[in-house]
Amino acid sequence: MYYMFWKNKKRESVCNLSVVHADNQKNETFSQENVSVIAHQLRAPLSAIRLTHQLLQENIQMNLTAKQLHLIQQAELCADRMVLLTDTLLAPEQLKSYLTEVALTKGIIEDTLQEVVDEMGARIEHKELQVYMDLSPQRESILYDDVKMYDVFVNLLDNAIKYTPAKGAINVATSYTDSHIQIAIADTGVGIPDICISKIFQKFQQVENSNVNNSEGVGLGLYIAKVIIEQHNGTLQYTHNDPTGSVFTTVLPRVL
Amino acid sequence: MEVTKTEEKIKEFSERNLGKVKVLMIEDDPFITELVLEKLSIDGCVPYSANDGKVAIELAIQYQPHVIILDLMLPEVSGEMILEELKSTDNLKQIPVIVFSNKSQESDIQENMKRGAAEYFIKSSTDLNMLVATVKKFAAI
Repeated sequence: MYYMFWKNKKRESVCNLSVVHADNQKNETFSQENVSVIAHQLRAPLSAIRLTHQLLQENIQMNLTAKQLHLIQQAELCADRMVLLTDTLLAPEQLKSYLTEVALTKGIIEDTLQEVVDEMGARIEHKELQVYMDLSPQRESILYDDVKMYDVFVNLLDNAIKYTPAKGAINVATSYTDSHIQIAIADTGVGIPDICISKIFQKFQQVENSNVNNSEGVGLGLYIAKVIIEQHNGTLQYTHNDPTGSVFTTVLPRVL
Repeated sequence: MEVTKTEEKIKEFSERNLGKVKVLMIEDDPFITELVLEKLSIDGCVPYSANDGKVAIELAIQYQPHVIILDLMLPEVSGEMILEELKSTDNLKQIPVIVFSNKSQESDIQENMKRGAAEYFIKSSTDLNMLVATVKKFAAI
């Protein structure tokens, strides 16, 4: 039971969106300002969709079946992805400063890798994946931004988990040369087709794969990972795993 | 005569909902209002809403909600102006106001907290359970 004391009012957001679209057709350029306006307009219906999903998931008085609840949860994942996308479109400056400001402290990269693997333990277990930690005993302290490198490894491991079928394997390995440390995250997943490899580090790119639900990301993970690694004067490269899967190899200088 | 009727209604409303958390939502999107009011109602609150600043202030004075949920982008009178009026009116300034808006710039959040908002929720990222928990925390009855 609730009370609404309302004046009659037409909803205007759809009309506003049309006006913006018409302006852009004239200018044939999509300025950041217009992107922000549209992203902002998208937030209103998106808020309603997310709140609806949440209310439905309460499942009180609605007696939804397990299948219906599952579908709502999947729809909610899609809506969450759209929230991420609008947030990114609305805050390009925040993304820029996140990518360009690196706070270096001394740390052991193997410790960061282990923390990431531990954090993702539930997902690894859920898919019954085998994770092999082939970490160098050398374990040298190097200078890096541990918060951002943590995000990088989360992105790389997240991809490995997402694109590797149940009961597959992931290998996390580190090795040292005189001047560099190399971190390789390899999986036995579906791999990336040759035709897509040149685009995987670009913004808003996702490899389409019919076996994988792509609804959880916006195609920024690998782009962000590569930029952060380059901020450390390092490199991030993709190679095919043999006989199947992907290997993402990060190389960081031991001394910046 | 009209005044008496209104007073009777308010008295009846207060007696019927004694001990419950009264929440006024000021929001102009009817569907979002319905969703939030439904959730508050399921969780034992007594929610009511207005989509217009002037009506909202009148309702706040008459029904004295424990908490107000306030949208910012409203027709005619903006949410920012409503917040300022709420915080400068003797009978209303003590009511905690939760801003519920899709304005997400840090400056929007800071400015409205300075105006006296108790909490700030970005609509598109809001967890309804968290919103209701915050309402109940501020209501503290």
